[in-house]
Amino acid sequence: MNFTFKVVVAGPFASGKTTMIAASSDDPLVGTEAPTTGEEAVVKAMTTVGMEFGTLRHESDGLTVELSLYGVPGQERFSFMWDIVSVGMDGFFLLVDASRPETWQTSANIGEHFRGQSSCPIVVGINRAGDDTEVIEKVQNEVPIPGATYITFDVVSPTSAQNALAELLLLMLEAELLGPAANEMAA
Amino acid sequence: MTTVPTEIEAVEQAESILADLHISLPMLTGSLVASADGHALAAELDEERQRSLAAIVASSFALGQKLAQVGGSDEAEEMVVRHGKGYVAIFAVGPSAALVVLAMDTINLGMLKHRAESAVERLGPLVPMLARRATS
Repeated sequence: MNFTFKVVVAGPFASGKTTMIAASSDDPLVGTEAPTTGEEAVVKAMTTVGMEFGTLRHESDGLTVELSLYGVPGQERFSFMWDIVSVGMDGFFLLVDASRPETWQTSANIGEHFRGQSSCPIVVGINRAGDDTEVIEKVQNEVPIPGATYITFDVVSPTSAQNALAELLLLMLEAELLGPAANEMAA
Repeated sequence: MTTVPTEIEAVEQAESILADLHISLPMLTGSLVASADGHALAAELDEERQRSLAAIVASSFALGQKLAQVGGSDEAEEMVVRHGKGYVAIFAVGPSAALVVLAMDTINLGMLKHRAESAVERLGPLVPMLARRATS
């Protein structure tokens, strides 16, 4: 069986979206980065202003899966890109930066925006969690996304990033194979 | 002798370049200089439209750069959208900013490009100083 899924990766400025897609994509990332200005320049030099695209393929036991990974800018001023890119998405991956709790509200707002666009499966990936064993519970409280699965991972590690996307893949396969019944159960 | 303008002088100079552009092209309905990361640097446009337009220009022109690469070049120079009521045209101002102009459909597109290009030449040296002020 062959499956192709469209996955949108979103999260606050500097939460690790581009790094995650670059780490998990089989092909070189197609990106739209521009130099930052002002206070954002203090955090990092470049930021995604349009969208980015990568592809992750997986093959085993006669099952072929291709994930099309779409990254969107994190800043609210680019929220029109969220609506453009989210059309037809099969899964949504929301990034939360565990090391910067001041950005969690932004994660929650972004998650709420996308939840309103689609009833597709959502994974909340908590990046840079370190040794904090209670971080999942904290993030579940501060970034409450109905029906979402919460995991910790590390965007800089290709294995970790791919495992995180595998979580979302399983949810998407379940939704695809069980059809509307699965959506009703989740709702 | 040329002196480096202060940040406020740079904004004043950029706005006067845009004002000149509007005088030479009466069919313009708005213009704005946006940084590549989506901030308004200078504008002849009502304030509430500046923020969203600057972000849209940054995203669109970044995708335009990708199209330029498809075509075999590294740098997009301009993008023109023709719509039912006129044109929206974006011109690169160096690598880190862009000029967008909104024009009515009766404008002469060749004249628009010609005037916009000379505005771009004058705006270019001001961009570093404009970018400092826009987000401070």
